[in-house]
Amino acid sequence: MQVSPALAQLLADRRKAFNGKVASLRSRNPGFDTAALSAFLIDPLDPLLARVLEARSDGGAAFVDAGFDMALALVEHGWTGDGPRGMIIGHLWRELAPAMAPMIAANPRDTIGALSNSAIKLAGIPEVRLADWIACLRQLGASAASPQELRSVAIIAAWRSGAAHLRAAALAAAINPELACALVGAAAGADWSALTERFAAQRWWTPDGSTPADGHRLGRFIGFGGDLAEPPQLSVIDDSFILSSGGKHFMLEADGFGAVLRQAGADYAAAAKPAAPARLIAGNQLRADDRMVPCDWPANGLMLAVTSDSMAVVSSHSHAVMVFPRAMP
Amino acid sequence: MLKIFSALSRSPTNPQAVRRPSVYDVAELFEGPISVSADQAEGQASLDEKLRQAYFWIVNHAIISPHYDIEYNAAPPAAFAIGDSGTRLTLPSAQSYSSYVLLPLLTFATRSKCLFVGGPGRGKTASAILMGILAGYAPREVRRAMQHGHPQMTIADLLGNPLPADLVGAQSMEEIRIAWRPWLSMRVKVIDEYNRIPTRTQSALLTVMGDNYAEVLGHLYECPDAAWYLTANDDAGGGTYQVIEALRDRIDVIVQALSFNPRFLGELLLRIEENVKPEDMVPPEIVFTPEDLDRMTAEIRAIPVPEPVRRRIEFFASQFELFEGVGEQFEYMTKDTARLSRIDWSQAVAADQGRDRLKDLGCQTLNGLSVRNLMTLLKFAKALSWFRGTGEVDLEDVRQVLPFVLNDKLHPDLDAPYFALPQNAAYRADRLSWLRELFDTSNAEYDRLDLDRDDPVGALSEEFEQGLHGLKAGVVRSRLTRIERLVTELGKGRKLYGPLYDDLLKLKYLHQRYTNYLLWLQSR
Repeated sequence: MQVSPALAQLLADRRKAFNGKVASLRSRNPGFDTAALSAFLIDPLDPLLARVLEARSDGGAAFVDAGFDMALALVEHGWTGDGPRGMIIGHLWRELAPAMAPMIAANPRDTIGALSNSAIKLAGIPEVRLADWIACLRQLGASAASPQELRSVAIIAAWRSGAAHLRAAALAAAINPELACALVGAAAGADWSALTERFAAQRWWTPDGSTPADGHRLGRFIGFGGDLAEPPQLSVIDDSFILSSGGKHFMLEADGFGAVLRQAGADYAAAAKPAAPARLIAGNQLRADDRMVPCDWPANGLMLAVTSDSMAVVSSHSHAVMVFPRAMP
Repeated sequence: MLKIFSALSRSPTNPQAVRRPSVYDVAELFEGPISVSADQAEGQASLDEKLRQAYFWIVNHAIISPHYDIEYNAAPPAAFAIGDSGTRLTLPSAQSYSSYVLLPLLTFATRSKCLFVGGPGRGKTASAILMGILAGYAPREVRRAMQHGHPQMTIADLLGNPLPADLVGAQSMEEIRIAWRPWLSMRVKVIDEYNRIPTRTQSALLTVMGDNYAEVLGHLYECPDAAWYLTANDDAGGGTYQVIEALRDRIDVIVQALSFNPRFLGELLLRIEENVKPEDMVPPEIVFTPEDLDRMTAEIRAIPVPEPVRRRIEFFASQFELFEGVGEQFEYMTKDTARLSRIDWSQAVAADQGRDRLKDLGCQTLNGLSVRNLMTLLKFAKALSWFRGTGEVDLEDVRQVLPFVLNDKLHPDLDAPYFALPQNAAYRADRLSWLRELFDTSNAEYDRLDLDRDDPVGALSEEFEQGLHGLKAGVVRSRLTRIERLVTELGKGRKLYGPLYDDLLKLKYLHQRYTNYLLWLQSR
């Protein structure tokens, strides 16, 4: 398959420099997949170039300069092709990027480059619902007025897709309020400043009422791709949950949109207060402030910890942790 | 680790032991294998980190076989004695640097003047071109602006021509317009083979280098602050023409292009086969804007030099100027006096009795240090500290830059007994190691005298620095008495060495200031 005349000309103009980059890369990494590089240039880079040129006729050179470097980086890290990682980048470049062509033409690295990096980052967090994030960006990404606002869109979309550690950044993001309201699922005409106040006051509240009453269950055995080598110990410090397992420590961050584990320092974990034994009611339920929460773990070996707005439970029979709101918002 | 020409290290180039807060930095979300704009990803990039990235890019990609001759150690280094001669090889335990890359970069950061020396084909010119590209110029622009010294080079070749039409039609000199050479306006100036420039043209170059302006037919062109790179095949400054001393003195650091290690021939082969030139591959992330350069210079100037470090520099600098036998008056007992009078050096040295000529560091040199040398030393020590991100100059920073600053400035007296000792024979040729050894010996003497804790002249100076305002006559008289006592004490039973000479001159200065103040008090 051939590339378009426009891309062929731009590549020919840069032949020496681009060949030098590839040669240098191959000299140090003989396994560098040049076929994958060619495939990426043919699709998705070439079709995106066509959209970029439609948006800005003189934007091709800057886009190809940046795009070639991005392609090298992505191929080098195995983020292209038909594998799961390649699919994610493929979605971004083929489905999202064309709608943002004017912005990409003006600043390729800070738009599609930054989004690709964030997709790679988010894909490394199993609790983040990547499909939701991409769907959200597909729906609203093109509404961003600048690369900076596009980043805000990406942050808020990631938060809504389960990246609870981005909560504070999302609420502080510089963004058009209407766009922000749409991103968090608020009704049309909602007031963003009122929403941010309510988010700040009620961790588990969501505008669309999507908060799961049973909370979130996360954490997996290291042998199945998780982070936990053994059933975790639960503790609390500074109104936050800490999980410790196999010498590693994690901060559990949760809200109405999702929950994630983030690595924490040993000093921090050592100062935390351990969880207390928990008791099941009626054989399979835990008592929250305003309701009963189902629990399918054995009654023995349950440990429960509480913060001002959340409850978390671990079991000596599981590598997971359950976290749920003390009271439904 | 995979490397491509345009790739920069994503990890900190000089990680410090800083305790990171556990707060999530949202900028991390957009960092990854794809390089994004630094200002978007993490705010205004730290310039020292940017310069370190430039350093590592050059070391890893542009220079094929770097030599790590600026050695830092966090713990005692692994040292090996090689062969029967016991030649010492050390493997530094901390991040160490290649002077051939680092010093030109520090020159770039401080907008100073660097001379590359070394045999032909060692990459001197290529390195100078890289510095121009770091300043934002295209490779072709830097190459075209480079001045190539040659025996027929005229002042007009160097600076610019009067417009021919104006020469014919002008009624006065003011009417003659000059077509200035474009290189004069550049922030990085490269003079290739400067020792092939005729002497008269060298004088014109001196004006540009020293005073930052060019003059042709009474017309002046003010040049911007710039980093200068000069190359010469002969480190003695020889070449077709003898380089005028004033021009050599304007050079801040001299860097030697070391030999190519054939173990890296594979890299060389790759460049030939792929027709790859590093200067065409400089990543945009390490290109500095004029604003960056201004900020960088200001940040370097702000790096503090702690007093204990400054005192050791003072002590070192004091070693070299004294030449007791050539002056009658105390102030004129200097090597400068000997040089200006043009007396026979060997006779003067023979007459200089009383000092231990092996122990006295001053006996190893033909001259002392100039103010310009000391300013350059301080500037580059600050720059190295800033580059390393340590926050303030430490003694090792001074020790590492000193040989490159004083090379060709502090001239060895090769007839001195010190150089006749077999163990010092290598210092006759290896000036950098000799200069570093001089500084180490000076520091050892400083430690032996325990001057960090017992420095009476320093104490009196500090007292004086508090100011004279409001001092009563009685206090002044008491201080004058203490100075006189100290002079008596220092003069007792000791030979006159450089540091003592400068201490006595400082005491004389303090005595004079107090005396004048006392006279003023009495006249009121």
